[in-house]
Amino acid sequence: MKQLRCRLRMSVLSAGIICSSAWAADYPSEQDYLQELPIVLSASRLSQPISETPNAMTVIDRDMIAASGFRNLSDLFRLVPGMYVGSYNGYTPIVAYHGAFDQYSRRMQVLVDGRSVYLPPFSYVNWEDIPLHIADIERIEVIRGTAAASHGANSSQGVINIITRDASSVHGASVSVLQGNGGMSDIAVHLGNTGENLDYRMTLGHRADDGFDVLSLKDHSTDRLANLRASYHYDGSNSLELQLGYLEGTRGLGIINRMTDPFRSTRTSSDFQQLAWSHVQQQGDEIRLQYYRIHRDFSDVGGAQKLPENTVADRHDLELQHTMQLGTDNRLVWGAGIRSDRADSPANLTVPQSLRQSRLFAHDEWRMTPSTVLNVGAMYEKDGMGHNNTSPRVALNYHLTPQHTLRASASVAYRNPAIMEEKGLGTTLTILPLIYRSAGGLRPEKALSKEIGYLGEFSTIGVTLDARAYIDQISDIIFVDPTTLVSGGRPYSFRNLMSATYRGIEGTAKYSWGERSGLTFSYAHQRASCTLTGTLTQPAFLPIVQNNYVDLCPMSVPSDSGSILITQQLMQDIQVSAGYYHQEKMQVLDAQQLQPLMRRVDLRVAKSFGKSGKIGGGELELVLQNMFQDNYREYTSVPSTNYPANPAALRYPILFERRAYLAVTFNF
Amino acid sequence: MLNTTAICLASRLIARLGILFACSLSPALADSLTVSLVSSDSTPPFQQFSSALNKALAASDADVTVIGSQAGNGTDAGLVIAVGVKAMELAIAKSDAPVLGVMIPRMGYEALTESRSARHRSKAISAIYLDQPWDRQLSFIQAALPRHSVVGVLYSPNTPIVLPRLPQGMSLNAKSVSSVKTLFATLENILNSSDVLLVIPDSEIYSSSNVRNILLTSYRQRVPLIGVSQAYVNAGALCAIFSTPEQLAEQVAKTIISFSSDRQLPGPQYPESFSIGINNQVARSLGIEMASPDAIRQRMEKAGGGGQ
Repeated sequence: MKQLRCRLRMSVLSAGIICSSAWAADYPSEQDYLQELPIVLSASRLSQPISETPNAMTVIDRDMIAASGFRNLSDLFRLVPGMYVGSYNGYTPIVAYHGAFDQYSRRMQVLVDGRSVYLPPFSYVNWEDIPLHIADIERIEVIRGTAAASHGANSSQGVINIITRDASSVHGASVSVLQGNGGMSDIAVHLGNTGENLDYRMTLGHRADDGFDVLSLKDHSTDRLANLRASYHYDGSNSLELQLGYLEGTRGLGIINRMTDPFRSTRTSSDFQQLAWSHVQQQGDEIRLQYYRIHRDFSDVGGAQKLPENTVADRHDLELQHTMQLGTDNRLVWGAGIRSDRADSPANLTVPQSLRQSRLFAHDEWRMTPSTVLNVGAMYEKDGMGHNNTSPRVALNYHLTPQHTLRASASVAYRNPAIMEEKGLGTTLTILPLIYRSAGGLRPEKALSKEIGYLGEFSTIGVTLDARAYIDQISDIIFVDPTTLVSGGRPYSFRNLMSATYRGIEGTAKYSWGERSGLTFSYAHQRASCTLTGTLTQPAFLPIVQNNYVDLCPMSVPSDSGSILITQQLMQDIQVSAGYYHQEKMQVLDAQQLQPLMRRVDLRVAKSFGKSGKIGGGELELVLQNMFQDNYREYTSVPSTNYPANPAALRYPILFERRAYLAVTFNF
Repeated sequence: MLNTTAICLASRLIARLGILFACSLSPALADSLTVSLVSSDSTPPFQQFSSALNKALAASDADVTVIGSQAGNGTDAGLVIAVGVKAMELAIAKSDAPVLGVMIPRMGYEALTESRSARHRSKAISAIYLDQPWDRQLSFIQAALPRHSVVGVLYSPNTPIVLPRLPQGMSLNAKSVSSVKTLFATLENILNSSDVLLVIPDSEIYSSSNVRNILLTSYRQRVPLIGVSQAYVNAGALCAIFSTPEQLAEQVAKTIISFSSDRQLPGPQYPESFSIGINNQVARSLGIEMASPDAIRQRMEKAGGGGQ
């Protein structure tokens, strides 16, 4: 006898608008006004407005992702001022802030929902191995500057913080199919439901393409992925969140005519499990306990002079975080975590290696006066290799007026040696007895970053501005150290060899002139200089290191780079957007060749049909990438031989040529 | 239609006799007024109301005795104060005395008066509503968020919305939610085309599990939510305008005192005084500049939108 519903029809006299019909409900009672509610937007859910963050930050939201027409996660970072995006091959992008020394770009932390995907033993991000579909991204926050105090180890030049769509944000089901030239063929199904206590979303996807070059690289890839995010709200103050992901890929590898790198097929699989419990207290404070595990398995069958290779990486991470609102003017986040990394790669490490790291962090946001915000924080970590590092950060944001803000900040962060750099020992080639022979004893790289920034909002004309000038100094840079000449090769060790200074100005201007119509312009001007600060094991190699790396270091950043993304809504259902990406000539230090000027124009036209988000609705889109066929060369070109090194060897350029695809999304 | 409703109401009464009663049962004095207080519930807001009412009456020199009662029947009370819809239903059915309802939304009150049986139609009843009048609500939005001109509203088809003429420069974007299944598609849609989402209480749309997702979704889309209580503000709404039990008790006390002299009930009315709640953390995070509650109140008075 809980509820016997009375259906009442009400007659309403109207002076303005009347809305009436019949859907079962009691007539309004005081309970609708007096109901008790859980604290939903707790202190940890509330993000800092950009004008109060301690670092410069670029936010890439769903609208920008859609407007860009990019199909790969890594391409999105072209929208970030000062970010380099290149490709080693069709499925191995290189994303680096402040230029790149090599294909690994190790000085940036990358988090997906708080999960660090910067993996051992090489300590870099396998972008295409993350079991994440681009359509499941809610937003990406790119912190331009060192931010270890709030984002953990290795946030030495920046942090990419990918936030996926909440479990409650997908309602119903949709399927999207993409077909394009270069073998592009993708399909994805997204499902989701929001219930009384349980919300979930799920994605199943398949993607394939031929890569850059079927003739000289054969870098085709086929991936399948599954991703689940579910949250269970036990009561108003406790919730559990589970995330699972799996990806497996088959990828072509090899370089034409190269005995040491014959055409072959490799297989990669990657999975993660993440469980978080969060407890919101009475006053909105939150305690969050999170555990995740990442497992990656790469296998290469080898062939000719290439040995088979199998690399397995495992990470377990446990973290407790407490967010507290201390009065109205102070918010404190503190916590502690432990991480265990294990890498097994007989060809590169000989024996499996493990690392156990631990960290303690605190970050406080203090509103000293209504117009002054002080962010102070630090992380203390034990890196598992015998080093204890403290990474502090202090930033002061001063609102000249609510629309105009000045920021000054200074921070320190460390990049821990990769397992490969510290413990590498082995060979991947039949013709060389040893390629890696790490001497060990490396110190972490230290980054010191200082910046001043300005943020302005000119709301009457729809313009926002974000600009900054910075000096970043990185000392004890770990670099390859060729050791004694052994017959047929020179095994590599690693040493703290260099220091680098980066200076630059960069900024983003946004102009919005209507609903989903606007322009985002990003620009970066940067300079780099390096000095050799360490000594080589084998002084005979000094000229090579000096000429090929230290002297070339200013070329590792493009002097000027930028992007323009314009979006225009036409009528109700058509959206046209165009992106322009510009990068002056540069050279990733290990590329052996200059990467010339890049100018690329992308175009996207999308037409929606039916009711958006409802059954029968959907979208049709056409994307042209590099539409003017201004084919630019990626990262490097590949020489047909590399052992022994022959500067005169024939080189095959890796070109990004025009691509086009058509995609349709349908809700069912 | 009426018969069905009457049966419905009767069965609700049987189901809901577990109702609060308290304190003494003193016989009424000849010239004094005995007020019987019937409450739907004993949760904090109801307790706050009854203690504030007792305090307000004690502070006045009126000769009024308040007694707690099950349904306002069985005593020689001169007036029944029914707190909440359930109490109001019961008081109308069981008591012979005039009934003043309080903490009842206007829609609930009108539905009750429409549905009461012919036998009870002659009885004097009135109410002090719980909800805010529309012009005050809109004037509040305009005073608090002058740059947010498109007000989104979700309503279920049988909760009619009656709006006065909109203030200049403001437009309403109302969408009906035909079933819970389409709630989130409709919500996304409305958030895409509104500057602010105004809560219209409705147990189907704003159930506490839905409120969680509605708040999260609107926060993601950076559209602030305007709630109807301090609880909404604490949960994550940007702001709300509401009347507290104490404020309602003040008004009820005044009405009782005036009734004790002329034995006349005024017509149903909206709350006279109200409070403004603001969640400054949410405002900051959304980059919205909020004036203080006092400044907003002054702006409302200036605009003449019921800010008294």
